Amino acid sequence: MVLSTDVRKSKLTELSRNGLPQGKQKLFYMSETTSFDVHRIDLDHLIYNRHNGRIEAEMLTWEQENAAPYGTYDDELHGKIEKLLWDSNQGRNNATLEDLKAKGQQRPGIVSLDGVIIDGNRRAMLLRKLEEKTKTKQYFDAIILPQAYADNQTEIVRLETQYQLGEDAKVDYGPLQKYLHVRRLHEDLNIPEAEIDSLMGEAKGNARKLLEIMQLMDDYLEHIGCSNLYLMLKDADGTKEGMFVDLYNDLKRITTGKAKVPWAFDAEIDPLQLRLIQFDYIRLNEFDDAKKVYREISHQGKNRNFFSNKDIWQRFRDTHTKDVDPITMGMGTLEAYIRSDPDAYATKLDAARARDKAWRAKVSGPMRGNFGQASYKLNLANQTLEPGEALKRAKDQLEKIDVAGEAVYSSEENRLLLLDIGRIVFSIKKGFDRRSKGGES
Amino acid sequence: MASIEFNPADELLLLRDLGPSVGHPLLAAFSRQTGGRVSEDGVLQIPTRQPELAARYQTLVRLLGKLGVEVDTGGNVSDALDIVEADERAFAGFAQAASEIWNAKIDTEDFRRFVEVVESCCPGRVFYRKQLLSAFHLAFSQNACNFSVPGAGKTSVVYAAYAYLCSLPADDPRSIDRLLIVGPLSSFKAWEDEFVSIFGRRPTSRRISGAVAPAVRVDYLRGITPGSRSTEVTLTTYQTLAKTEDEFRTFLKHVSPKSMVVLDEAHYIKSRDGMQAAAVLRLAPLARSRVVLTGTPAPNGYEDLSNLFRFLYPNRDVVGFPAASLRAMTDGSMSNAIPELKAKIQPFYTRIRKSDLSLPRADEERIVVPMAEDHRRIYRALESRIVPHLRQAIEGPRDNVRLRARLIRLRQAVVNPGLLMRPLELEDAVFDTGGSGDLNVAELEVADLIRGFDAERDLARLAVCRSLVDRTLLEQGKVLVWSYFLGNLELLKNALSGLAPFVEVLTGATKVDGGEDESAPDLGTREEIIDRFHSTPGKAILIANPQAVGESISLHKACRTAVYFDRDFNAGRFIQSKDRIHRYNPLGGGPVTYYHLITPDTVDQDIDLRLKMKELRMADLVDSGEVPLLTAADDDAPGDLRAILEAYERRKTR
Repeated sequence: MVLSTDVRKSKLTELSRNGLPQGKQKLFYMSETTSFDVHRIDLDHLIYNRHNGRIEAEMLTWEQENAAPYGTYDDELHGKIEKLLWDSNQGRNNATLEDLKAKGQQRPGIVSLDGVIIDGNRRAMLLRKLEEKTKTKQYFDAIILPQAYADNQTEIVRLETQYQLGEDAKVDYGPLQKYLHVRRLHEDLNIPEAEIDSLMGEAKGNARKLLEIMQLMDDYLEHIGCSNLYLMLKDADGTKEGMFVDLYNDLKRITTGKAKVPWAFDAEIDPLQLRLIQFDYIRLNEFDDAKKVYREISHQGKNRNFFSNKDIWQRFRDTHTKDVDPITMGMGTLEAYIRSDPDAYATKLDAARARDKAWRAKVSGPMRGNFGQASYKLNLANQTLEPGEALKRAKDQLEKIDVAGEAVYSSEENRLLLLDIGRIVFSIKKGFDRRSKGGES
Repeated sequence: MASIEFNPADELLLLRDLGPSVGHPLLAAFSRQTGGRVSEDGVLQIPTRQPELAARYQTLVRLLGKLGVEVDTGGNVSDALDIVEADERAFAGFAQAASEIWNAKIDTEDFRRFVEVVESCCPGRVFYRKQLLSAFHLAFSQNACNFSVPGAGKTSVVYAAYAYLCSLPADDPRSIDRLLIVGPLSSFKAWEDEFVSIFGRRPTSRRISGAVAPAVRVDYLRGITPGSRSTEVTLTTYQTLAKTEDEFRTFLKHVSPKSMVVLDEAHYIKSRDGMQAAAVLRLAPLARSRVVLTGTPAPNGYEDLSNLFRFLYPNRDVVGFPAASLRAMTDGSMSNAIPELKAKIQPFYTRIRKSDLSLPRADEERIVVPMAEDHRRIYRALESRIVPHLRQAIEGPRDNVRLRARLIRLRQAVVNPGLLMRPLELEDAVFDTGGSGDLNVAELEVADLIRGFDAERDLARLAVCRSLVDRTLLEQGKVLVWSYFLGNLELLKNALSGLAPFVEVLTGATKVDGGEDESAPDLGTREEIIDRFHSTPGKAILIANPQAVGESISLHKACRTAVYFDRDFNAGRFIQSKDRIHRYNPLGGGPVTYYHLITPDTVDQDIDLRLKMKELRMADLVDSGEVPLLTAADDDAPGDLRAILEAYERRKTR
């Protein structure tokens, strides 16, 4: 049973005033380094931090799905966070659990005066598990900050940032966390970008970049009709983060004129279309090594990408607009999808995933085909063959066609292609004829 | 069919009846990007401020075109959109027509009328056909670039177009009544003089430069000064324009709203983020007509073109390529895109090549100049101290200040060892060795010889020059002498003063009328010197240095012979200095001669060979019919060093 804020606060106030300290620990808090007492705290007097970076995407998605009022912390949420923390990395959690069993808690955590765990959420969760397993009472050793979370949120979040993302932070958070966290610092708490950079121990400009990539991810979620369902940014094999970073860099280079694009693209519309098409390929995520393959669209250097080749890009783009966009529009909104069968899915996230699967099934053929065509053309464009070699390859390919079968004759397009090929062959042959006549005379 | 309208009160573009397309991902993304939203009744509302309207509208029309949505703009369209729409339609046809003018596919009736007006307004000038075509192109398009070679008469072309546009009825949207010329100080005089000689009358004109007190400038530009509203020609510099931007905004908005704004030597605004460029670009939309003049539109590469065309059409992306792409076209890694670039800008510029001008013949005479024994010893001593170390500079990292200092000393040693005793800073106003790079002459074994060297007595070059000048004065009356060293200019003035009643020096220190430099010597202004050089009936000698006088000055009507007392490796400056006397002359004019004084087996000869080679290379570029690209061809420092070193080594093994 989660205790109320007031009760937790009075318990911890009492403890910090009259409890026997376990030791001292220095902390950089509110712009100065101070030595704080470390106290042994009853786990029941603590709650998890809903903004814990390890689970922030899950929490935001959960809030969006349940329209959960911000600030409510009850048993359900407590259990939810506990499970999320455990699931976030079971292997590592098992190892830490063994460690805690053998050595006890080595490093003190940090909690606010109202018992919100600022640093040490995972350890506290594991101590609870230990308590359940061993039926022995466990305590959490931590510094108690002089303010409650809500009373001094900005300062506490600065502290959180140092611990979760700062230079000395243990890097076991998910890749989405830094984006979500920076956005929270900047948009919710109005902390300036330069200060965020310094809190995170990063070079100037890093926060801006993270905010812009976050914006791109938000745009993606909106594009697929799943605003704020941040778990839609995760794949079976991790997150799509790397793809957004690449796309961000591509768009940045293109829109700021740093990319050497050898044709006069429409500066307003082409980058926008590139972004949407990339979104669709990120959403499709169907290639064996999607993260590398999709780089062919705009990321590969030295013009070895579709966007840098005018004809390839225009065809690729227009085919996508013609074949894929109508399907995307035809899928309707996520809300409509859920309404069509309200009891089919337990959560909004499940429905969104099912809808994405349905979308993929429809677009997979056209998208793979279009990508394949463009990729093939790009290869050809980058490949300069000796004429003899090109002729040999053309002959080999033509010979593969079953001229006795019906398939080749069934399409008008094939007939037109054949006329084109005939024209090319004829003009080469004419060249030969002219030369042999010239030689004779 | 969708409809589009602009609501100026709420600053909203409203798109109605989009049908299912209202949910199209592309439109949704565009709307998201521009802060738009779809109202409950399905109207897409895009916040759009008035200045963005044209660009935003164009983008939307292209975007809807991609989605196959037809847009009805007729009927109840707001005025603002109506203008944008009409402008859009007109521009496509206009670009086509402008392009055809230069290819001489013209409406002969229009052209005949144009020529009639120009001829009657410009009694003092007979234009040649390419000039007329170029002027017609400008008058037709109102906004155009003229990339003609120096000396092709770009000023006259502008005045011809100006005359025509002035003659239009006042309510014609193309009609203009005033000129604002932005250019270097040295160009002002040419604008004023040409006006008089073309129109046969003196304009009311006003120079607004740094020399004019700020309060006076402000009063003039804000229309407070009586007469500022009727002044026909206003001249200013890029620097003053940038410093007084707000006042110029007022001027173009309220005082002279029907101005043709001319950027002379427009390559001054090539820098992407320069302050002057930024100011010019911000003021561009306020001009009724815009003209860009430069013979070297792309001195560093295609990327320099961006600003010129952004000035010409502030609301359009004429060039259509981002900076990185333009740079890649310059460095050759994207040469396949160059034809597309050229096709894009082709309708908007004209270019008269040197070969179009039927200029008189130009001869180059090389005069061998010996060195006396002591002079030879001084030169060889410096040569052996300096040249062998050049290898390091070629192969390793270069200390530019030190290297430049050494090269200047080497050149001084051959053209006048007397200069070796002068601090380098005196020789080159922009040159500062920081006290480290210069050679310590006092330590050389020939130090005494240098100290004892008296140029007036010992310098054979001076005697050769003197007799050459004397001969030319007898034959032609006037002569121009060039030297890159300030010390030599003084020397020449003294040595030549007995040969003619008029001997004057033009340097960077010579004051330009209305110049920013108030401390200039009172030798008379540069313009006055040039005037007197022209008007002196008898013999006259003008001594000048190419660093200061390379640009914007015409001497071809006064003089046909130039003697180069010395030269350096910079081909761009050299060619510009030659162009001062080799330009289009409506009155014809005889052949032109350049004399080069060269001491064999010295850096003199290396410079001569390198300049010859660079000039050939540049001539190809400059005279090609396309956009002349001057890059790398000029400043090939490693190539110059190699030439000196190789010649030196050849002599040693000989």
